[in-house]
Amino acid sequence: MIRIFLFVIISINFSYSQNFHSPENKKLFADYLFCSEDYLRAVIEYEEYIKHYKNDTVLFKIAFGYSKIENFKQAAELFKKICMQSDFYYRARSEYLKSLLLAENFESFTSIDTKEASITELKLINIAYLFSELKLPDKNTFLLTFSDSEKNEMLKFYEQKKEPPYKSSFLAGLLSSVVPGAGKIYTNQISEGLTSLVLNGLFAFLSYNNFKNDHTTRGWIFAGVGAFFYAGNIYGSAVSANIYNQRVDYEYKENVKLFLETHNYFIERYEFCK
Amino acid sequence: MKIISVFVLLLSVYAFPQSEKMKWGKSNYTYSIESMEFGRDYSINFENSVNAVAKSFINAYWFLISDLDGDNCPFYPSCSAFFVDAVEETNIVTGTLMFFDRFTRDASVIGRQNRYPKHKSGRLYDPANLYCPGSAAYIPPLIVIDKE
Repeated sequence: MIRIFLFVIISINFSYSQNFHSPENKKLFADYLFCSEDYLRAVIEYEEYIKHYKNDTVLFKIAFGYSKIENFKQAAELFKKICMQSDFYYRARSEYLKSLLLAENFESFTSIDTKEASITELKLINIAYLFSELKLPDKNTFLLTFSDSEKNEMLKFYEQKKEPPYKSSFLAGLLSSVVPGAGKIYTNQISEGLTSLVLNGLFAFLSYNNFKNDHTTRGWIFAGVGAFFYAGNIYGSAVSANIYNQRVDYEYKENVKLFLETHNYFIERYEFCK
Repeated sequence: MKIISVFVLLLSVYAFPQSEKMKWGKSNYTYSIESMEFGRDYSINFENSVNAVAKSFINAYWFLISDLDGDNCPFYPSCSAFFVDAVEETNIVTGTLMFFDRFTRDASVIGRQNRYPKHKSGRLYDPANLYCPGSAAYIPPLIVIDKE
């Protein structure tokens, strides 16, 4: 019993002699969390460390962590703080632009001086044109910064941005007014278009058949319901073109994002956790 | 020391005994399937007389037909609730056109599972505000909408 008691007392004393909350230990713990991809808690620990010691690597890691947890605004502010003397300066500049892109802060791109920009930065600045409403540069100027392997894909994105394959809501409505459902087929809603054609045809036939057989009341009822389906289809076709255009925009942005993620936003991958 | 250890162990056992009530108590178990239906709002806003008339028809439809027939619409909100929302968000004419367009979508069964996002109730999410003039919006399918 005495042995156990002594063991407990000694263990407690030993543990108290270790300062687990020293900045160095916090950094070690933060490194562990960072390499475990627990960026949220890593950032908290690094922020505790950086209160005691200035360290560019840690500052970069904090900014990188914020970027990973999708707090792009904070990430951009911290990347901007990394000074020119730091080894991480050029990486931080690229990461800063990436954060601006992901935060959809496209206005900031207009104030960037391109004279001192690296190839990666120029690429990211060009990418900002694809996402924003800023006026696109000339095609050759746009493609100049990209490598041969990237050019084909970027050309597709450029052309789609310049001339998106939108559908006209007026034309969709007009087509549906001529042939019910045609507007929906025009906006790729083939199943709905055919259904509309069948429904309109059915009500037209029922109305015609009832009038022909002197069932005037039923004829008018079917004609009225058919007219509502007809008008509803014209309205639906026009709206469907708007929705189609929004889908084009959505898929375009998703494709560009996928391309960028595949190429890691043209930024060299870091080896912090070998 | 042994006596103290035994006393502490026994104390913990007697401090948290399992009562007979907990062991053999009656449980109110039900085998009925939880209703997926969301509460109907039968209220009528009399400020707009046209909307009030439309809502009265829908209330009558809900009370006399829909509630008896069962909850069969594959969409959320249902076609009748869509009509109410469409009329409230636009006007009676546009709302009626939106309703007939929705009815066409409802009748179009081929491949519709892949065209709409899913609501948490398991139905296809297709609210009226996505089709309002000037605010039509695209929601990608295969995502689950967690709002009522």
